[in-house]
Amino acid sequence: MNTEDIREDFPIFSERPELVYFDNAATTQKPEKVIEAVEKYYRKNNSNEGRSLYRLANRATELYSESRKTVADFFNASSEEIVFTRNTTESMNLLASSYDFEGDVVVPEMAHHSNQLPWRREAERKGYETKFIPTQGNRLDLEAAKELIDDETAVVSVSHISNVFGCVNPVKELAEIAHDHDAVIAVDGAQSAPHMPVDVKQLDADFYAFSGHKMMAPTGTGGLYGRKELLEQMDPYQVGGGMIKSVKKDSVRYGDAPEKFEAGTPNIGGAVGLKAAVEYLQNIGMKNIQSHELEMSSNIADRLREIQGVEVWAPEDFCLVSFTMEGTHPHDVAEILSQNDVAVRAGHHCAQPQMEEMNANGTTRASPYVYNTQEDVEKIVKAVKEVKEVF
Amino acid sequence: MRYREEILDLYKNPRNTGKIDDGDHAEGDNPSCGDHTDLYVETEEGKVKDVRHQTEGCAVSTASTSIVTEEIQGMTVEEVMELDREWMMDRLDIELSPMRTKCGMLGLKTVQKALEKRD
Repeated sequence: MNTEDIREDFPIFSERPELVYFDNAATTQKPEKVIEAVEKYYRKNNSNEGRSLYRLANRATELYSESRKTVADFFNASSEEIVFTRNTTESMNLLASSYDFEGDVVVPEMAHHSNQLPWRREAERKGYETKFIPTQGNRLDLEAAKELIDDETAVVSVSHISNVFGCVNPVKELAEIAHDHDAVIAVDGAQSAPHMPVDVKQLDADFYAFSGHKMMAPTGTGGLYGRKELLEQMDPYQVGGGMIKSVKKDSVRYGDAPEKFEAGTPNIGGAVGLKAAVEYLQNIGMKNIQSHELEMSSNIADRLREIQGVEVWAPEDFCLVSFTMEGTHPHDVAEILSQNDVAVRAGHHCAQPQMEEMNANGTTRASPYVYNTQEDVEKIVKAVKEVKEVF
Repeated sequence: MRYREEILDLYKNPRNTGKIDDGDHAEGDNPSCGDHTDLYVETEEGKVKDVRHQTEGCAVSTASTSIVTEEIQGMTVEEVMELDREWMMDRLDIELSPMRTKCGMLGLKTVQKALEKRD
């Protein structure tokens, strides 16, 4: 894997040669292949899918279902187990509202708001509790999880990789615990799908949500994996066109999964881009991507730790670097980094309960990806030193 | 934006901090950043007599809140209610991006909220 060659695949880096992009946990840049695929779709193949019968529409139908197949293979699932959505947030909302659970919900304290609020709201409506698995040493506390998950638990919804700490959570172990208590496990894969090989069967996940735009695909793409028998039992999230078997004045029969969860014309162009993105990732290899990120992250962390007053909030083996600076608010850190063309995220990262627990008003987060270089690492370190000089 | 010396000084040494027990109080939040301020105003005969704040936030929100507390002393309530974004940006005298404008406006918005509550 050659990072310099990979960079050349991304038009934004030739448009903005000065850019040091370390905000990949928020969204990633798009390679030429993805941009081209979307453009080609609109130039040559645009029409509605799954409805009309003329040749052009057949092509759109084929492209949309090819995309679903590619994504399904990527996660070791089958096509009927992949529902296309706008992003992880929509996947989690769909799931929490359509999956008919009876019992408590367990989420990690570090959970992204999109992985806790949909469940919390539903649990509250149904009169059940939401419990939080604590964080210990920047990691999910598995021992505490064993105590929290019990026969009253109906759903365990866990971040695969934390967007705050970059740690990989023990999903497989949690799945076993959940299943021992007849609960289902839903996985927030927003940060794992782009960064490591994911096999939903091996994880023993009942549900797995992901965002396409965090893995080089266009914004407005994402999906939800659900075990076939579970998706079949679930009611639609939205109703309308493209998702029914029959509609009579006195009765409605909905279609099968995944179509029954995709009311209305879907994001066909986006799906085409998502397929191109997955193929691009597969071509590089998820293991190569993961090891490059681990290397970049530990290089950043090692260098930042050398700077006095910088605290790095990272466990072992992490794929992003959250840090705080004594006497400087994360936003001011990000502002000065921005003046040095370094793009990072600063704030609570949609994980306010976790920030409260850390007694932090947020962190600054550098999240690398496959196109970041050692030169980028040097630039961020230099910019952080400048923050020290200003404050 | 460039961090002016004055902004940095106001961040490190915020002015008029504290609370006023009988004053009108309002809380202000900047949800995207986690900035938070508690603002207390005391008025007498329709004028601002004293104003105090406890702010936890970035340099911009902390400094701008301090500036507000200094500038509005002695103003009539009506005058304070009429202060706007432009007035605040002139006082701050730095270029703010759309996301940071919220930080710059936190103090002014909160003091206006506290005054609205006034009997």
